[in-house]
Amino acid sequence: MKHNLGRRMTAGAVAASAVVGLVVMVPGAASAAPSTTTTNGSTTAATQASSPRCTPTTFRSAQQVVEADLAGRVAQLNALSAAANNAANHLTTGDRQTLQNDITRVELPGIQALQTQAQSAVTCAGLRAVAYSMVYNYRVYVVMTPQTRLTVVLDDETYIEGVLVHLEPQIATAISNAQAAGKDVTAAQAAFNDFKSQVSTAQSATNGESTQMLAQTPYGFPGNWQVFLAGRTDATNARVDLHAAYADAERIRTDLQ
Amino acid sequence: MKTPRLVTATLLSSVAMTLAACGAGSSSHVVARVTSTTALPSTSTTTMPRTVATPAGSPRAGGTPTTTAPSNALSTQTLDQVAADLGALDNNLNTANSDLNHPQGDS
Repeated sequence: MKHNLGRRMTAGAVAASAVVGLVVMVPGAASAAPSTTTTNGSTTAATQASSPRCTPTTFRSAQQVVEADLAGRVAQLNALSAAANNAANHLTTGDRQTLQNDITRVELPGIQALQTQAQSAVTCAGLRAVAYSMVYNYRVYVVMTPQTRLTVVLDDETYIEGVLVHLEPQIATAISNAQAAGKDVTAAQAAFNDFKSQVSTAQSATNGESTQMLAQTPYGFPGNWQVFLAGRTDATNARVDLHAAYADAERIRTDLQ
Repeated sequence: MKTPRLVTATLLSSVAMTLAACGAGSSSHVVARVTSTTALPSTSTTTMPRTVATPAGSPRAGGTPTTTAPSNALSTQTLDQVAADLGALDNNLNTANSDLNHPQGDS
């Protein structure tokens, strides 16, 4: 398990203490949603300073906003849990377990506990504390979500790379046999060389990336946003390589016909 | 005993069938390679040895090299599954991109 509840709560308390009084908390995603900007093709997520909207006269509406935001996070976490549990993907056993632990044993119970607290809050201060914890201690959208999604992608790619490497002897045999039968295999051999190169490049792109994704925690935001973007870039490049490897295999098939 | 030509034909037939099955999935989502926009260190710049995770249901690497054609059924099954996996990969990457480009808010 990457990080247990006790460690996260301790870290959360420290983080909360450090920023109390520095951030004007307001309830709800609408009041504390990150802005996203695109600079040179790079998406940046940043938590905006919030404007206070909870007053004694607006308390009930503010409470409803917080409750809605919490419900949205529960839905998102359930979606992430489903993705991590999906047997159709190729998450490694360890990565699947790590994600499941974080999502269902830390994040989900934590957000659900906040739902209870939000319902029982009677002051703006109490509501702000719930909203603050919801955002800063759990980071459902800007850490847990990209972490889960990218780990699935990267593990899928690693799996496919393995399958393609295992096909190489079969293709080599086909080329060798064609050559022995008098076929000109120059083009097929060139495609095969590229096939191997593409697979190797994909392996380099994904090597260690899942581990890096899983090492990110809610308290690493916003710094770890760049880690996710870099992981996305590597995953995208590996995908291109894997599709190119298939194009090479198709070329080999055509040439040896 | 099969002649070399027959063995070649058998192999090519197997590869042709399986590649035809996965061709659609490999051509519809071509995107250009992109360059990372971050300066963070990445393990991906290190060339790794060509070690692989062994996928379930795929032929095992290693062992005694063979010059005979592998099982056609296994080969077809493997390549068909890769085609499906590439399609699923595309979908999962699209989902990841969507989440990264448009985070809901944290918020």
